[in-house]
Amino acid sequence: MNLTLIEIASVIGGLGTFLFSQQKGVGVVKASALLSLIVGVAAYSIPVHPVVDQVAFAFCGATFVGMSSPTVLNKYWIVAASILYGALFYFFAFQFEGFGGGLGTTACISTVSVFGIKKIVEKQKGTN
Amino acid sequence: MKISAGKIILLTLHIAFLLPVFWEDGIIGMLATIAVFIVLIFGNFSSKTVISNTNSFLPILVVIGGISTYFLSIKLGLGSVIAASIVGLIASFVPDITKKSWTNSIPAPVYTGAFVGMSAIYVAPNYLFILLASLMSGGIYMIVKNDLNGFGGKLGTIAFGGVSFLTLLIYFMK
Repeated sequence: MNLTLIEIASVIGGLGTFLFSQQKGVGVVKASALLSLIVGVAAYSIPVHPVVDQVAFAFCGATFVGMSSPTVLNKYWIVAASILYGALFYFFAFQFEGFGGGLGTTACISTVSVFGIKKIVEKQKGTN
Repeated sequence: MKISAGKIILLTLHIAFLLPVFWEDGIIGMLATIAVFIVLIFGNFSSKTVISNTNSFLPILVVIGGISTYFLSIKLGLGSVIAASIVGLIASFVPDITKKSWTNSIPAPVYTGAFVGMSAIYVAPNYLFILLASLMSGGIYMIVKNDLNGFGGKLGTIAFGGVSFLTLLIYFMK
């Protein structure tokens, strides 16, 4: 598994879903499901290779990061959360391979962690 | 930030997910944390959490998402990513088609069920597992419905809670 590929897929998946879901009439579920379906079908049509499967899984999980509300994270923080998600996916996701919800849990840990960092940064800016 | 039962449950599930990574024997960390999770559910559930009757259909929606995704993924061999996204996409169009406001609450629980249905066959060997895991996820959904809203991955965490909780039960019953 290639970390760079996983990170690229994560950022595209996270930011793409976030920006797409903000369009008029497109909800977060629709944005996440549609982008995952496109990447899933593309990976399905490429001759079976473990890296392709892993990138599709990473992308699908990253779309859950992009389901965050703009009131929680803006697009820059979504990129940060997606990068963190990619690292967690690369290093830890094997632990719960096959468990439904594993990708979403990884995404949620990333968004909650980055939200915490964002709060600290905002507090620091406020005191300076 | 106000700490509610739902937030504690969701964050405990995150710890349950991460702890085995740092534990020599992964399953012990998972079991220990899930045990804490169960205590927290029963400790906080009755005193602070209110479940309205309008939420009672949520587990059914989660079951629909879980069973249909499992069918597409395992039985039709489409794979979990395609299966979950098809189910999520169909659910997301329900409010657009019906034009009724109450259907706006359908996509999220169905998508949660889709994550349960993404489980591999060596974790979820049959429809009964998916049915029970989906019902458990539906129960967790009802408890944490108003917590961590707007945080991406919340639905997946709920699904993970149902799947891991059932896996724990089966582990003890064997």
